[in-house]
Amino acid sequence: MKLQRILFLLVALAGFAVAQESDYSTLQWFETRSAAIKAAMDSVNTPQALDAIKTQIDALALDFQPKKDFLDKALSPDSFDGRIAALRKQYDIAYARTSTIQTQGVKIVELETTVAEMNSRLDTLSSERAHLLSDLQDANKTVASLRETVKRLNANLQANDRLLFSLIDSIFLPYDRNMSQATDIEKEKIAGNLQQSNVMARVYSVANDNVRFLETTQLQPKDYASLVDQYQAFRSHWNGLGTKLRDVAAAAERRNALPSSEKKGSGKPTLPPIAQTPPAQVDSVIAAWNGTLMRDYWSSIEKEFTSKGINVNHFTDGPSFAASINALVASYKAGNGDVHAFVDGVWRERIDRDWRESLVKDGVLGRSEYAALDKTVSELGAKTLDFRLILYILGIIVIALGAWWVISRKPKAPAPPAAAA
Amino acid sequence: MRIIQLSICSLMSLLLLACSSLTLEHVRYGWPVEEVATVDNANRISSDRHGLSLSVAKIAENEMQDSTALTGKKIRIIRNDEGYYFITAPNFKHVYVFSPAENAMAKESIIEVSQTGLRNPALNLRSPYIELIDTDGYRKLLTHSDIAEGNSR
Repeated sequence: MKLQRILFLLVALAGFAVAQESDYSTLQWFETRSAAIKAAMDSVNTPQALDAIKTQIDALALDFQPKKDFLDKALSPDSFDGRIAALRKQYDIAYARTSTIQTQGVKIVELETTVAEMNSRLDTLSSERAHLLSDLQDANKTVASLRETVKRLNANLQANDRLLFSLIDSIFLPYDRNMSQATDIEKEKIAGNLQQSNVMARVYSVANDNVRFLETTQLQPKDYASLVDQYQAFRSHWNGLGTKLRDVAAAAERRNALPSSEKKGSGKPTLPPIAQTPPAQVDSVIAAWNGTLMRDYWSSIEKEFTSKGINVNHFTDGPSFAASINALVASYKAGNGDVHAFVDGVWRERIDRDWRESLVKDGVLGRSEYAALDKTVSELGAKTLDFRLILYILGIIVIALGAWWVISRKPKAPAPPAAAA
Repeated sequence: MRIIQLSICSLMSLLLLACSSLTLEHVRYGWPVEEVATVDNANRISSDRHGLSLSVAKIAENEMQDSTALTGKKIRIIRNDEGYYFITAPNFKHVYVFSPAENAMAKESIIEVSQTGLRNPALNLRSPYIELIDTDGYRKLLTHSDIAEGNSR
């Protein structure tokens, strides 16, 4: 910046020294000063440095104002005012740019601090989770103690999910106007941050720990609703990240493919890939998580029926569950089995009370599908109830009639002796 | 038949005469700023701005008795409002004034402006004159044929 100023002054003084009244020199001097101001505006990075440039523009306008008429002709088709206005406009653009850079710089520093804190908290959560998972496998624990461990582990996993995706959002946030508009240098920065925070390995680890958790835990029906929510939120976050991660990975690969001489910033090391864990591996473990969760879930529901001696067709997902229940209802309508055991013992006591919260979720069975099934089962129960009520009433009537008959055929009392005589 | 031919010829002649007498007036040829051009190896100078290209070999020969003496040097050229070209350069004792001709510039006058040679001259348009300035406050106002006003060196 100092060098620029010195050069600028030398050129200006040289122009004056040659011929102070030459129109040609005046024009050259004006052009040289304008070019120097433009170059300075392109190179500064802080609004403070731009303040000095604003003074230079004002001085340029003032110095050449007496030569305005001449410059209007010499600069034709441009004009003196046009040139000064263009410089002021460029100044405004440069000011906006440097302000944005400064603001973003502050935000990035703040977010990097947040990311570092989040990384530390994630590490703490990971070690706590490992301890809880090992606790869960301890056979000597009481049921109450195991339930407490499951509860804590589930809370840990949920906190971990939230923190992990907050971390990823924080990494993308400074550049998140639109990834397609982000420059390769910005994408490289994100790739570096993702690598530094070990994001892909963490995502993989969370998904994998969820699978382990499901495999080692005997869950209660009501646990599943939050687990389904947790899985769905995680998958949705991951799907949303897919495009961004691919963009960033591509930028990092492009950079690595460049010969070292063409890379901006000499001596900058080659960027590592975003992670040792490729996105496909994360996709695969998330699919395994869904598989394990849904297998346990439907199998637990099926046990509700089989444990009560109700033979139900095997089901593995929402549609097969609905088909199975419809088949069961049809079978009861045909007069096979104890309707009461199904309707009251299983459906109302277990399914509707404990499993409905998770069954109504999209991706499990769905609200409208559950309502349709519940209606079908309720109608079956209602018919059963009516029949039993009639039987009950009939029974009462029979008993009442019987009682009346017994009472009415009570033997007549013997005639008094006087009447007999 | 002959009458018709004569009539057509007469009409054509009249039309041509009419065309040749079409004159646009109040034209100002003046350049707002002189052109400073470097003489190339072919002894030519050119101006992209004015679409002008010419050889200065004869000026060099006249001024320095060497047609290649100006190669690599800077020549200053300007046009006044009347359309005359004024040419000079450092070490010149004269300003050369030319009028435009067909693929040529015709000498209008050669004005002696210094006995020792100009040091660092510049030409400015100061209508209706051309101003010649040099170091040490030297200044002359020129017309296409002579010095109109100015101090001597």
